[in-house]
Amino acid sequence: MAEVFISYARKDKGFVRDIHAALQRLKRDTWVDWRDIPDSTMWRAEIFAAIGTADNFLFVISPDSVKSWMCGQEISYAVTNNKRLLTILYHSVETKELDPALAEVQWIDYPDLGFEQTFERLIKALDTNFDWEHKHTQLVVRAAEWESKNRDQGFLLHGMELKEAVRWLAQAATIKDRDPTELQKQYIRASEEWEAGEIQRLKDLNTEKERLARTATARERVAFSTLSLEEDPECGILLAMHAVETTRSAADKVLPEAEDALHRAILRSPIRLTIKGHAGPVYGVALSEDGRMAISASADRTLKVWEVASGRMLHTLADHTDAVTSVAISGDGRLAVSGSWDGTVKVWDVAHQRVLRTLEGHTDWVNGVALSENERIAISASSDKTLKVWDVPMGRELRTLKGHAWDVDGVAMSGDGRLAVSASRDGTLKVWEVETGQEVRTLGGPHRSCKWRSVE
Amino acid sequence: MESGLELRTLERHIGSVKGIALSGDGRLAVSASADSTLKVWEVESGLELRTFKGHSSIVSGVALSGDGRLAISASEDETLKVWEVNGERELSTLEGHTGIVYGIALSRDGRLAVSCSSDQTLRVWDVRGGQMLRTLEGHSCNVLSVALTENGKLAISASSDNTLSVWEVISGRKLRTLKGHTDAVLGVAVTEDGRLAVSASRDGTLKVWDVATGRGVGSLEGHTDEVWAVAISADQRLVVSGSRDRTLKVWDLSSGRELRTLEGHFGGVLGVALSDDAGLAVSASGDRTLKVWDLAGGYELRTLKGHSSVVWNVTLTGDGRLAASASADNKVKVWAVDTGREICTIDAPMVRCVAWDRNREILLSGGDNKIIQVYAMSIGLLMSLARSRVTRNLSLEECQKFLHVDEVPPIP
Repeated sequence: MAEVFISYARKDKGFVRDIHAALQRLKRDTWVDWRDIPDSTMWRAEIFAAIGTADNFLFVISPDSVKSWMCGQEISYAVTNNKRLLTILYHSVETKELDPALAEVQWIDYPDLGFEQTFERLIKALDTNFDWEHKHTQLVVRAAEWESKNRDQGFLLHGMELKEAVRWLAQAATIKDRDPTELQKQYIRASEEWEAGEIQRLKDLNTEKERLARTATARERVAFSTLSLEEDPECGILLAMHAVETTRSAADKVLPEAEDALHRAILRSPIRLTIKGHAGPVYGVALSEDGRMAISASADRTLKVWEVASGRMLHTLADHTDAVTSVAISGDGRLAVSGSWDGTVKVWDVAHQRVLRTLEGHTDWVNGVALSENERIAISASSDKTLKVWDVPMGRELRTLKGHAWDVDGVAMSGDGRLAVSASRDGTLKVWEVETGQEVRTLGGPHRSCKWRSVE
Repeated sequence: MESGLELRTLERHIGSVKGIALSGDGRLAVSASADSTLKVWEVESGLELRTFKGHSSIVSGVALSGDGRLAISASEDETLKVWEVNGERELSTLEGHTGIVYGIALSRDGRLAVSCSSDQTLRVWDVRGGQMLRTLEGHSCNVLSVALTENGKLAISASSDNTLSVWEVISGRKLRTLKGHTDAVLGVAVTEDGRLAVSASRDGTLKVWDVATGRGVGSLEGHTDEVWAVAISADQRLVVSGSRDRTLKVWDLSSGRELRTLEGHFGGVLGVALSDDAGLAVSASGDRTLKVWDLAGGYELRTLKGHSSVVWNVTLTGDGRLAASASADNKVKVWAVDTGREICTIDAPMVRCVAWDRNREILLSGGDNKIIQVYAMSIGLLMSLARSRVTRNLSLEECQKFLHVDEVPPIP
């Protein structure tokens, strides 16, 4: 990197050679283009690169150089690259002919001074860092003002100014005999610290703003969770989970209200499992005595067997040709009885998914079924206004219970299998003696279904 | 049925009733309705206990498990749902007591709990499994307090029959009876090594007992009224007592000397708990507040306000950072001890006592409803519990309405 780039007119080559030689003797690194016709594009690029890397740009003023197109190019490149400009007046010119950028710089007057003194001035100018000195003066003033105002932060440097001062301080290390004062150093350091603090404060403010926004979101979710609890507890749990997660995922402390809401939602929600699998409405369900297995009856014409704890589907029982409306199950869960809109009652071997018997006889939909505890007797309720009593092992119809005036919707049997209760759309319940098929009693009131509670 | 008399009408459903299931004991009925809900009824009284919402269409059928705990419903929304019939539970409920649960003690690993009750028994529980392991019978009156030795081998109970009993937890054997108090024994604490026990009594004294022999080795006298609560520091040096005289007293266990009196409560002191390093004490009072005390300095650090009624009981985590309190306002509150901030409030109907496990993963509460509730206290455990409880995600419509987003995020 050259210390100085010399820009000149070819006509003044002799003078430039003398300057160059004198600089060489003092081991001052100089870049001069000696070529006569520097017009190729590549050469021009090389020249601009040299200007870019040189510390100083020396222009030799003469009527020829002032008119030179190439010199003009070099000057404007030096100016746009913030190079320090130095000028030597070699031959007088009209000031107005001079590039305005150069007119501002005080030239070294060769005709007046002669070579010796001109060169001396040039060396002195090269050794003086005007910018640095200027900044130095500026900072002395500013630091003193700061000091006199009890180091009030209002007098500190910031922004671009601070950046320049920091750069200036860094430059000081590379310049001989130029040490910043202790006060300047303190002043710049204090400014840096203050600015860093301000930046942090703004960042903190922003972080706090975001945290408040998250808290607000979490609070809103808590409110929605509380609102949902009554109508849909699961929605309440999910919203409370989102409320917790809103603050937790950002490593904030979990919002206490969110944690409360989650406790509340979990406590309130009685749903343990939602079992999906049927392709139509589910009309009936029965549980094995130990509560481990459930069988469901669906409009999709199948029955499905489920493990209650996990909701896992164990089997599908398919044989009915229309919607299955009802199901009853033996105590050990091995046998199931189903009623269907296809008018039949089917007895199933659950484990082997096999139909053991199809009981036919009803002339309309079967809406309900019941199975005695000893698994020998099944009773079906039908839209044909009757109930039928079936011998399960033999697969035989034993008798028909007639008396209802309209569809029979449901039936239940006492534990001992002696009595049955039926519910009909005619608005009555009827109690039947299973063994004889006799109607024992009619109970009024609109009823749809019934379940037997064994009474001693 | 023989008479055909209609006993009771259960009416509340908006839509027609599609199915009914009865529990094995005939106590409860669950009905399925066209209004998409199920209702739980107490048959005897005809009271509607709960309504189950969640199905999106007609509920056509319902069945109850033999023990009446679970119901399964069939719906025209094409799903079946399994429901918890018996009230509300978080992690689990420990059921078995037939009277008020007055006290709970947890083993160090939090697996074993011993509770005491007005049913005159103590019960030993496998907390994780939710199972009752044993019933300890022998008291002839309310059992008001229980303490467990560090290794969980011995339980010491305090009763309103003026005695204490020492029990071998594993066998359920009563080893000895500690007699000496002239009125009901309301509180008991035991040293970490299980050698000494200190009891608090309505007779106004505390007594120190040699657990191995059952002999009384000292009496701490100074309170001017009934002594309601007692705690021993982990280093076995200090005893802290709470009294109806509105003060706490700090005693030197080995000498029986009264070290200082902590004054500040406007009501009797019903409960006291100490941090493991014996730096802090937290007291529960009839004045509706809890107070945090610096034990070494003997001064009050702060007051925990928030309960709207008597605070029955307090438990502290070993590190002394979190306290949980049980109040007659039917709430359990969890507090950050260092700031006094209320961390969370749990609805706990009729709660009387609370106990924390060492890792503060779970909290147990017991009370007048005879049930011990086990709560998940770490947020991690609570979230995983929530995940196990939900059977669906939010719908797009719900996300738009509640979360203000246009796509369904995964379950947190």
